[in-house]
Amino acid sequence: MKRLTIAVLILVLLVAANLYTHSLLDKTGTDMLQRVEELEQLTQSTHTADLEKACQRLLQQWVTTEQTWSRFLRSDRLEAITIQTARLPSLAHHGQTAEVAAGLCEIRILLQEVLAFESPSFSDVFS
Amino acid sequence: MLILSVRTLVLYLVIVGGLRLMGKRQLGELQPSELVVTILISNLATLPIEETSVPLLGGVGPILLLVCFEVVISWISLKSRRARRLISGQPVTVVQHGKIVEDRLRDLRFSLDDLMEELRQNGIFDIRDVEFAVVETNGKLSVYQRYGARPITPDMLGMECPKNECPPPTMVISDGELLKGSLAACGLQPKWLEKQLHRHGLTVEEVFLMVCDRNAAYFLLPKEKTGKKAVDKK
Repeated sequence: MKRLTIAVLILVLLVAANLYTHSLLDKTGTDMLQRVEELEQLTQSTHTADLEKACQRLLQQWVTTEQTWSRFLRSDRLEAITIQTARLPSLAHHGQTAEVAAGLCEIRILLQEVLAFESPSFSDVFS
Repeated sequence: MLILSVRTLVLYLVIVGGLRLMGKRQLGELQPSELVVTILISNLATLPIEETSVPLLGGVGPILLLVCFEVVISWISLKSRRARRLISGQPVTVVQHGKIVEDRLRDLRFSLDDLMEELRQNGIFDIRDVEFAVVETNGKLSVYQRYGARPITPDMLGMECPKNECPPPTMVISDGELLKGSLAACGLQPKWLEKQLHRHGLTVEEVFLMVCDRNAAYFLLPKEKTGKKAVDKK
């Protein structure tokens, strides 16, 4: 009975941890996507200094998010986003707005893929 | 390299803890569900060790989940005979009243060679000596021999249990260390032990092995460096 109690306690803890990580992933992922969308709108304007600062902020936000995500997600899946995010401030600094826009588009798709893969849907279980 | 060592250590501790939680059965004969869990655990544990891109929680989480699931399933099968049959199957009699049941052997994909091998492992070399043979849920064969082939027991000879019959001897000193619990289990006092050791000119630290029973009969093996001989007191 003691073993069963411990096992049930661990199971409850695991379920709680899964729910927590899922909500954390959802929250931080949505924040990141929101920031990317804001940046995509900024690429329409011609203020490259503002765009560069915004790209820097995105990079900082991603560094924090990656630290959290890498505790429960495969880090090789996050590396592609890191590489793309790290390029953006430099591209914005040199006024390559189109490259920034393309990079943001890629980051958005990668983020959406990670979030979609981690959500427990029937197709994800068997994919 | 350091991170790999730490991850390996953490996983080792988790698996040892998990196996302890599953209980001693896991270390002996495995039921089908236990075998599955054991194989899965060993595979899951290697992933975070081999690949640092896999988070440690990615290995620890599923291992703990499997262990807990196995404990819950074991509990359910302990409580319900139906569940037990569903999870572990049921024993199958392959030799009944001295006759081999061919259909059952075929169902189990148990060849005659397998049967003979299992019988030999049970110390039986002649199939005619078998009255009943049952393939247990863990795949082992249990054999009930025919009357004429069974080993003679004191009951068969109508012998009575001797009055000084007692449980088997237990180890009271192991490599110079006194096991107080075992001494108490033999109903003996530390003073008695001191007296016996003193008689042979030994201290606890100088004894390699000492086993003792409730009748205070003991076997004492001093360490080699003492140069003293073993004592067998009936």
